[in-house]
Amino acid sequence: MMTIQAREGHTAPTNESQRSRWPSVASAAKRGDGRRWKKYTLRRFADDAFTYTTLIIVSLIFVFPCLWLVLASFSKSGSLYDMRGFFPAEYSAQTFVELFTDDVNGLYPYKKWFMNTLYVSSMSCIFGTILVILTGYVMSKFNFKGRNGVKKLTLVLGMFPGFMGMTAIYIIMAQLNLLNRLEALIFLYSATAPMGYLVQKGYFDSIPNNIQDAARIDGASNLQIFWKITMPLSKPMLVYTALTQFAWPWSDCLLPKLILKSRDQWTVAVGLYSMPETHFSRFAAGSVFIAVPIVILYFFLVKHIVSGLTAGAVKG
Amino acid sequence: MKRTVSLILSIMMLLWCLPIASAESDMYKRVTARFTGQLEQGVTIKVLENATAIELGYADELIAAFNAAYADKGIRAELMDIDQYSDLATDGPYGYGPDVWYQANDILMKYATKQHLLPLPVYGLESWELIPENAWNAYKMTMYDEDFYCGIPLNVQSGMMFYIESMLPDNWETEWDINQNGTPDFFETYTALYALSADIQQNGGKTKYGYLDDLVDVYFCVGYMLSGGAYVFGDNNTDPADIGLNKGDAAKGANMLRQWADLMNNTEVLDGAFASAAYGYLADGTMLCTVTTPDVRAMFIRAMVNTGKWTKEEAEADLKMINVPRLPVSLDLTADNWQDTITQMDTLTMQTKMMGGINGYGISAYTKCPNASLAFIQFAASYEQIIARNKALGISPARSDAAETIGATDPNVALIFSNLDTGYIDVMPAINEVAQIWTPGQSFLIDLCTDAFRAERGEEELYADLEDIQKGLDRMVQQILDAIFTLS
Amino acid sequence: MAQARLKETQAKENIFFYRLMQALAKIWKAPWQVKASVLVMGLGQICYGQIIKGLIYLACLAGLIWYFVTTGAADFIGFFTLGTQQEDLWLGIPGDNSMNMLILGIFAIVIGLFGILLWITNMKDCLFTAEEVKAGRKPRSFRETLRHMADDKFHVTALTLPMVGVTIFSVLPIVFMILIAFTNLGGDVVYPKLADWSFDAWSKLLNVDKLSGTFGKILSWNVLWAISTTLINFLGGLGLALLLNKPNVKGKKIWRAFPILAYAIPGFISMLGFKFMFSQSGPINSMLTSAGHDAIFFLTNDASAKWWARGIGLFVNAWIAIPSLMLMMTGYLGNINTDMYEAAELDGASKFQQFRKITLPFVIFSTTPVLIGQFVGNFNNFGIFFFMRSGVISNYGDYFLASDTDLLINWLYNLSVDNNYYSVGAAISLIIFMITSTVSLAVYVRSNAYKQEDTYQ
Repeated sequence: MMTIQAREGHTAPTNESQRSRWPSVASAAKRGDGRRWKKYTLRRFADDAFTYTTLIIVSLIFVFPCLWLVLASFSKSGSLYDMRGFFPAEYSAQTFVELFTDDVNGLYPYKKWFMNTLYVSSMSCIFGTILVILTGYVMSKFNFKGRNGVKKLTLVLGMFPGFMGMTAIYIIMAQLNLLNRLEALIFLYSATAPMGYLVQKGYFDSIPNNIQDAARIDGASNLQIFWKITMPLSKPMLVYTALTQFAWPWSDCLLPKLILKSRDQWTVAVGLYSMPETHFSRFAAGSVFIAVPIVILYFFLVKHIVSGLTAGAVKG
Repeated sequence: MKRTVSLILSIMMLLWCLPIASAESDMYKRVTARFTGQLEQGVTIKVLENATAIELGYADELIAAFNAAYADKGIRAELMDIDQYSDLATDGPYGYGPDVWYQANDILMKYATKQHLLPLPVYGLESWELIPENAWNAYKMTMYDEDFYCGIPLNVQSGMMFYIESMLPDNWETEWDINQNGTPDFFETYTALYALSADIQQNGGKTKYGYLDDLVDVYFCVGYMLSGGAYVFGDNNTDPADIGLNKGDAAKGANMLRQWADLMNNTEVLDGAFASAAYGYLADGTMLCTVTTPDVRAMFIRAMVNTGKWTKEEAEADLKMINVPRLPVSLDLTADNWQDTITQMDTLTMQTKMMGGINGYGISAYTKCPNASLAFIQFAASYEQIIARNKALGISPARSDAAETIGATDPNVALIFSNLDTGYIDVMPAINEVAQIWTPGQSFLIDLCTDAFRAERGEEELYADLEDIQKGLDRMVQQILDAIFTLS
Repeated sequence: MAQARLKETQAKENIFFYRLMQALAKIWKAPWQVKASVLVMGLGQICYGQIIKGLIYLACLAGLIWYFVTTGAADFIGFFTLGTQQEDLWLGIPGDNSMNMLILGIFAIVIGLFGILLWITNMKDCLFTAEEVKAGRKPRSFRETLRHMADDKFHVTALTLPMVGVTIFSVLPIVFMILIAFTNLGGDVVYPKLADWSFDAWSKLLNVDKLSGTFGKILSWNVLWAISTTLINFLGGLGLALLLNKPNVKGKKIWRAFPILAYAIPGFISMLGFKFMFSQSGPINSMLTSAGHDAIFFLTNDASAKWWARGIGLFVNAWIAIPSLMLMMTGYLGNINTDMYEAAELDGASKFQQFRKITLPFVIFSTTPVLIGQFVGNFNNFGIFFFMRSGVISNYGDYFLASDTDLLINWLYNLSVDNNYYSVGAAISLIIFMITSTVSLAVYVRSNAYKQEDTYQ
């Protein structure tokens, strides 16, 4: 629905080919191991030097802003302008303590925001995942009338600049009496999740049909096939889907800003967005705290992410 | 005029016990009909205060005081925890807006012109007499061919000069007080301030800069043009088709901004974010003085305490807020000898006009409890609460009695009040179209003030003489007109 | 070609007409229970003894009738009038809210269509039962119906909930937006003023020079932005993946961790962080000034910031997007059959030749849909300049309510959200839609991935 960058990375439409890439993603590194250089030549040295220099530079580019933010969160004085140069003059963990203990007379109730975000993200994750997986599965394995129509329609809908619908969503939520309620967000995120079903479809496409057919001959119903056969085979996709469904509400800012009114109801993203420069270290600490869980998740699940991102890819 | 009428009326009322409404128009009676004076029972008034008042704790005090005072009357108030820039037009109709809203007059009036705020029965209020007409006008609007007031003025916002006394140059009493009046000369005229700033930047001093300020904030900078005879909207700030920001000696006024930009030679002053950086910069000795509104006084105090060099009490005593210096009649910061501007102050300089705002309370048209809301506003605008608000936030009251009390010990409050009364504070227009002046205005100021860097980058200067500046101002006015009328 | 298509549609129409006649004939010949169902939804089912199912249909009918009697019918009429009585908030005269009426009107139409759909399925269901009975079988029990829905009709059952959700929260808002473009909502005409249907927005877009001029300028930058970000991100992702795939890189997991870190951090935090970093008083400028260099206008208001800000936008976007593309590319590279490289090596092909002849074609082949997605996403990349430059207005004179880095989508936001020009904003978003969909369709149809799918099906 929203076309902001944060989401865009996760829902890249994938190719719909059905060649089998099942069951696992071949490790890219394997290929290289077979072709080692025999001797340490000058050429190899130059290659090493080039490779590692580039790697170091690239890593620095990626890690430096994160490091900066982390260090800023440990700054003793709050404002961005008290830092001369990149780094704070004095360090202290005070900001993190304040983040949770001092809400500045209700202006920045971070603890509440964090719990709200957690609630919205986990609920949307559960419902969104169920809906997307169902949609992807049906669109992949069932040939029914109107299937192509649905496919084309979702493609077309995806091309609309999403937030133009925000005014409408606001009114709909007002009619449903859901304004200023976290449930409104859960509804929204879960309900619009099936729009990004293509990734899941790509994955199910790669599960050979004959597994299904065999079960069918054995007398299994479609529900049983889905639940007892396909789902256990789809763990990587489930994990990837759940992760993206979780990460989107976790970092979305526009929709909560539209729907949530009271500061008490805000999610972390809205709260951080509202913080002025004078509360920079609070912002940094809040950012670090919200980023850490998701970073850990990503690191643990990186394998599934790769298989999700390349779901339905072509084999060469 | 209105005030006299209503004064006479109230005398009449006292004499013959006639209801005050007798001479009020039918329309006035109809639109204020819901203000019966009968407090709605068992209601909770949702109050939206501004973030600074909440952050510094005054808002909670106010609510507590109100609830204590009205405990036996069956109404209570509570702070709304929505954003201070709530959009009443979208929140209100669905019941998520505040009942009572504290904001600057331009924001409140933006909603009032679309009827989202109620016209108030002002003639019956205690403060009607006590608040000068200029302040009331900030909340005046015309509907059904009649004037109504959609807010109660609380405090006057206008640029004030902030500095820390202990940061003054050591030699100011000998070198910079030639009229021996105990006020540093550089806070008396801008010519002297310019000279001091140039001196500090060249020869160093306790601070890195003398005067440093955001030069692209239309609200503060337009004062230079206003002093040169420009105006925002014609017909007493009510005619959006007549924009006067390029009229009179506006170009000369704008040229002074260029002079400042040349001197400051600092890119931070071209960024709106400077306003929030300013607190720290004053405290850490980056600059000696800056101009901003009185209600952020406490932010400076906090920044000073944060440095560890002041305790809260010391900071309160050390931070000074004074009226902005006078501008040279020549509208040129370098044309006169600064000493002359002090010795011949009356002939060479004039009082600076500033744009100002009137912050106050309005009542949402979607409120279920107009009478209770009105009671709250009256409470918050009462003498005691204004004094308390001043203590907590340093605001300058719009009420004459409160201004008098505070003015007795704080001459600046008295000064702001008299500036408002005498028209040296030009209150932001109350019409909707004022929203369209900021962006084109800022765009022009940026263009003007970056001229200082164009030369360094080897580019051609765009505002080398007054003629170019005049053209720039004309362009800006055209852009404002475009923004107002293109799509209407 | 065109003629063939015409024939096709004609044929389709004929088929539709033919089918309709057939269906009517079927109902005509069917037993009375079916006819009862035509009149009252669910009645036929009850007559066949399918009590629960029949009652459910009946309940739906009752619900529909209740809805249309209480609000639906009025909402439907409101869709056309967009309000007749203006509200006066001061005098307390209640009135209509055009925007609400529009959306409730659309909702009434959707419910109406849903009702018709339900009515048709009800008839079909009854016809089916009638045929079963005719063939001497018993009508399905409720339990059998449930089983049937979980099995044979699994796809319908499974898709119902997603469809309802998408209809309400995606389709409805988009339809609303499209329709807004054909009203005069916005500017002065906002609640409590009443709106009307009109082509105002389109004539303004065409006739007001300021609008069309701004549109042209923003569009050309937007196209440049979309192409360059897509290229940069694609090449960056591929390059990084290739680099990390090199056999002589030790500790791949550790090296890969840094980009993943950037990928995992919520996008808006990165964007706001970079905004602070490049701000006028931020660390980079304060380092520059303390090193004796002049501060640079990175993201600020000044006209000279135009290309700095655009460049920083490209950089930050790359910083955020490259890691995910890198992961994706890593996956794709792992899919390449290694035999091909070995064969190429035997043939004496250089590394570069291998890259050009094997790797690149394969990667492009498999990522075309992704690239299209990237292009559309970047074309409508709202976040970057919203988070990094909102409130900034460099080169204001050249643009109408926009800044020189704004993309169409940001301009849209300024117009419709910040300044309430709803109808003009909606018209522009329709144009954006036409551009992105045309470009992506054109590319997609030409791509190998599409051709391959074509041959597959």
